Amino acid sequence: MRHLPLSRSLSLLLLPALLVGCAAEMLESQSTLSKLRVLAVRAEPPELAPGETVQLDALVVDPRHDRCLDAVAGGSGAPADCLSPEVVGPPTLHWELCLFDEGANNLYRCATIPGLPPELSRRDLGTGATASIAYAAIVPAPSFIEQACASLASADAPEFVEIPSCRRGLPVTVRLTAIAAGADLAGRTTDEFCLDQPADCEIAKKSLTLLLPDRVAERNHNPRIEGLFNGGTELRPGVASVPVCGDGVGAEQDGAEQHDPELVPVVAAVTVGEGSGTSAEMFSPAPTQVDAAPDPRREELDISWFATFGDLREATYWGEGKTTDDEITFNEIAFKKFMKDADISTLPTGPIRLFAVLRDGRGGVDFEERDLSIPFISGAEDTVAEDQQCFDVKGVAK
Amino acid sequence: MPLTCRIRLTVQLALAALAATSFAATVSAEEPASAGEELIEPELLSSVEAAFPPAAFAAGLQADVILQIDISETGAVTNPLPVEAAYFGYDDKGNLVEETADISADKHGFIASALAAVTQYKFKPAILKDAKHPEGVAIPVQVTWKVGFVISEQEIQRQLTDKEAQRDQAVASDPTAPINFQGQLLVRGVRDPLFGVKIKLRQTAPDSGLALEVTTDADGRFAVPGLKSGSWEIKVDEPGFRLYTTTEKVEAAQLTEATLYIERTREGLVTRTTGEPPPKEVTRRILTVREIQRIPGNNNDAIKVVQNLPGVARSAFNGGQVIIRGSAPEDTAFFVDGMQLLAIYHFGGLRSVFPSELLSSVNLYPGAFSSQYGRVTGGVIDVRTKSERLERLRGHVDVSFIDSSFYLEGPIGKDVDFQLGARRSYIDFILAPLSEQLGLNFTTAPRYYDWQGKVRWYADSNHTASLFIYGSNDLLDFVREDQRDIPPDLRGGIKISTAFQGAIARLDSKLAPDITNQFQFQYQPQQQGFSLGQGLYFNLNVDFFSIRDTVEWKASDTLTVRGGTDPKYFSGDIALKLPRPPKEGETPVGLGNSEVFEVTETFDPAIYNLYTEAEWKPVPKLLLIPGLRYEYYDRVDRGAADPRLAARYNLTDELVLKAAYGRHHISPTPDETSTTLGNPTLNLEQADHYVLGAEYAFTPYLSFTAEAFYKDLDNLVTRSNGPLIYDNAAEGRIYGGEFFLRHQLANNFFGWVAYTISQSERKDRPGKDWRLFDFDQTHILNVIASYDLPYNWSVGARYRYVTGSPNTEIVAGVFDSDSNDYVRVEDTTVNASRNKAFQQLDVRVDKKWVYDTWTLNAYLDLQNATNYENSEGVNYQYDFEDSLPVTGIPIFPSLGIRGEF
Repeated sequence: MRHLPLSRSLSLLLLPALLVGCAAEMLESQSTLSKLRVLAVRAEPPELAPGETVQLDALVVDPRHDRCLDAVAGGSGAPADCLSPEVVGPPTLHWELCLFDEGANNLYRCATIPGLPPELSRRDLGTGATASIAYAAIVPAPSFIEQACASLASADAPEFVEIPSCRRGLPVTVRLTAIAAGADLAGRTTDEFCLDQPADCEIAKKSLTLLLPDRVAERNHNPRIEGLFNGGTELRPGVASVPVCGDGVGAEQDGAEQHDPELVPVVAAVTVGEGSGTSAEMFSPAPTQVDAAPDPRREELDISWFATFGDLREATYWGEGKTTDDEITFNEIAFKKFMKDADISTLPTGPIRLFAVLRDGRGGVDFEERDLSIPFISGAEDTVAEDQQCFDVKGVAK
Repeated sequence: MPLTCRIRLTVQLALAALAATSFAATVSAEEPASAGEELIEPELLSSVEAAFPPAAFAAGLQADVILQIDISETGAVTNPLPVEAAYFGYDDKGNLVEETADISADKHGFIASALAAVTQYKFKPAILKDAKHPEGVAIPVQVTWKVGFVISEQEIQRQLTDKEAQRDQAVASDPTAPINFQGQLLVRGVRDPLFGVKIKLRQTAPDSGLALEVTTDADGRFAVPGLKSGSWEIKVDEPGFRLYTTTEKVEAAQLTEATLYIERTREGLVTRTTGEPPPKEVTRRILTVREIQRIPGNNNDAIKVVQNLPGVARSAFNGGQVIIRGSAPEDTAFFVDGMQLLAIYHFGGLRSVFPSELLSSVNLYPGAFSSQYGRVTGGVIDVRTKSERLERLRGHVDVSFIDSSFYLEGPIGKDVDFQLGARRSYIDFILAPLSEQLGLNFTTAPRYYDWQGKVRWYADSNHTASLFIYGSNDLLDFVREDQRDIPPDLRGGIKISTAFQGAIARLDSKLAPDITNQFQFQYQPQQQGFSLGQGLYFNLNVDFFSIRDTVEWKASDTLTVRGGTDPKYFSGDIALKLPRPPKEGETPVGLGNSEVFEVTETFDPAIYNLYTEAEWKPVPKLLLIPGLRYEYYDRVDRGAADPRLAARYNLTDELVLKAAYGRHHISPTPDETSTTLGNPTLNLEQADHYVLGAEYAFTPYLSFTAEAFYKDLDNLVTRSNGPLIYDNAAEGRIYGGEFFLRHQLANNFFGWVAYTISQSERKDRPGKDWRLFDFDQTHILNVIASYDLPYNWSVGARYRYVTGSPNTEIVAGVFDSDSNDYVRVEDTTVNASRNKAFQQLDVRVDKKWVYDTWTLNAYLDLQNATNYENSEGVNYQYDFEDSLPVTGIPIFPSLGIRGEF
């Protein structure tokens, strides 16, 4: 018998993780926003029942335009990297819905499946900030789902199409293309432009399940962020709040002191317990073996944080079995560490934008954003008051 | 008698004979030519050397022999007759003594030797020109010819010295008396006895001038009867050893014993391992352990050194993947004494599981190998444990940067010997204090150990039995302290464990004068485990049974036939919950983006086979090795017959031409034929190997080999988009050449230059384009050199240059909002890019301190001495828009000490 390829398989599986440890710190963190980014795509509801209409929106940010706007507003002129200073509008969005997609190597473009009506393959949902489409507009009837899944299982299916699990319904693909304001496509398609200028274009995809009628009762719902807090005070939408620094008080957790005075603490309020209104719903995952008994379990929430300036302690927190907000939604922003040896003249002149995205691991998502007005301190000697230490960007952090 | 003595004697004989021929060209015609006639004297065209009578040579006797010979009109010598002979020599005082010989008696054999030589002479005949024959005519003539037997001055002096010594010896000792001085001459540090070495004794108190000489026997022992009382200076002056002198006080009536240790100053020419057969495979690379232990960058690891041989690609991070002639690592198999091993490296390549001292050789068969090896389409590495009888107790203790080991071998009584070894790493002890800095909590830090034991019983002249037991255990278990950013399913740390234990019982029997049988039985339980957090795991338990029985019949001097079988049976269970492992040509995907499979299976596959091959010499210079192997795999219910043919033709003593063809099959991997994860109806993969090459031996230790190879791969398993998951639609082709200039250990130096140029390609499905294989490396250059310096220093270096491994470029990332990950968008051509070419210089310095009964060796092995930044892969930013190369091992010193006895 050929020897077992365990070592090779494991090494291939583990290689990305090992490699990340080697050089990851030299590359930009996912939580740092420096270019056009799609941070989340939300479907309401996240699983669509027959007769319903889904509402789609997205969290899209281009911090360069923030800087341009801030610079123009402050009268200091537009920085050189502003694409078109006179165009200060938001990124352009283009929504599509694919019954089946062509997979990652084809940028998740809509696929045409032999045996299925071509007009069902792709729906153009427009270029608005939001989009919507009804269940009936996607598939003629719920019975169509079984027909579509059967077609995919046939030998004629294109090689690049992955056969979905049709156990609860048909997962379709929402495709969003975001293009920076003022970008010049110069005769290229949006896909070509995205490949050529990834800083000015981002393609995002999201799966939306069209539920079978008998599965509607077990549908998923979006989780909810009930608010963002700093130092016990809620950060209000649309208001650039001046945050407070960590107060130095807090329980030791995994060896790291919470509420570090040199850091800005932030908390997202999420209901994660077992009671009603929780964001962590109970569900029964698909059995991995034939005839296996249902195994109900609670959703595992995770929350991702992003900021237009500063260094977040963690990009993503995972909430396995945790029942309080602090355990899964607490984060801290460091400015000293982010600056390192950078020129302090590059400090933002306007507010810093902070984003939190909550996911339930089953397609449910919620997001919030807030503005923080940071009174940066630089050039001062070691006389910074403790309640101002988190604004001090002088030198390199501990 | 040691080799050096034999050489010296041979040279002296040759010199003496050469001197004799220089005296031999004196020609005189019997009759002068008449007026008007012209006689052109015969001219010697060819001659043979007259053999110097051995007794006369030993006695220092020389001679001139005058012969009368007839030279016919064809130039042949006829009717040689002795005319006169004179003998001369030197007496004990060096005075010349001459004697006219009685030619009728030929007391010393000079005349017979001269006559025998001249009859083989060939002349250009004498030519007579006269009025009748103006152009000249060949005529018979009679001439006198002197054959001289001369001994060189140097030899004369040596013989005179010997005579003096014999005279002194007679005075210094009394052969009729009891032995009162004896001893043994051993090599210092290793205690090998020295045979045929002369030991000189000279009496220093009283300073009588008496001297004598004794010669050691096969056990290095010597004895002198009736040695005169007093102090004796003992002196050993042997080429290849340091001059040794000591003084012993001897009493006439008392036995004095002495053990003399003389220190070797240089390595001799490499000799073949005892019992090693002459080469028959078209390509076999053999490394001796003595060479291996001094190659930089390998930490004395015999099995890792094969990665520096021609045809073997480099594995990333100095790992243990063995990629032979463009074949996948899992297509190459490891054997110990012909029995297959399931793993040969700790942690996938850090160390091999056998200490070098246990082995006599490491054999690499890169292609078209013997029908005795099956279930392999790449290459074979067969390590051989020592086969020679172990007659002395030996051992070592080795302490290096990462592990320590001991090894012991020796006899137990008259008919039994043993080998015993063990090793354990202590990376866990080193890493424990660093846990806090690394942010890792090592439950059990990386550690490995292995052990071996072998006992052989030489039952009688026809039967030898042995039992070899071995084991290996690797464990890595750690938890990262801060788990908050780890997905819940993956929290809880990483645990990797691999363990196997084995026993091989063997019986070698001589069934008849020309028939031998070798039977081996192997049992090897193995356990492999892996877990990543609480969510992903892999647990495999296998009991592995194997038999190999080979009968060999030496039918004649030109024909040997052998046949046998090596069936195998596995019984085990597997439980896993993992993403489907990536196949060759696919880039590994992050765990977060992979579909996870959960499988629990038991299995009990068996493999049955028969093989036969012959070694046939139809003409003395040609060796043909036809072979046939049939193998049946019950797991996939498939069988295949594999014909093999190899040929070696000795065009000259130095030049060998060779060619081979072999068909090879291998079963798909267990995950590919799993009823849950794969396709149980898969066919066997097939490879046809073609090899053409030549070997040239410049000297006994300097050789050059060139080979061209081609492999045609069919029925390769590839991912199918349909419900079968996998099918056999892929194919492959590999072609290239290997060049190997090798200087074996001799004259204080060994080294090699190994260069391989090749291309390995795969076609994943019919209609698709050929693409590069994951491990394709166009150019592979290995230069290795090691030199012994005075005072027991040695230095070595290894330089490697290898084309960068192929990779598939990631051109973009698409944001997956459901997972918050970016999904990679790959270049449409698989493996169209390459990493930067690899190059590395490793340096090694050894210093040895030699004591009478043991040696101490310290070494510094400096890997990547120039701290060159090699690229082993690419690390991408979260969205694949930016990337950095993953650099290989930086400059890495490894210190070690080793005591041997």
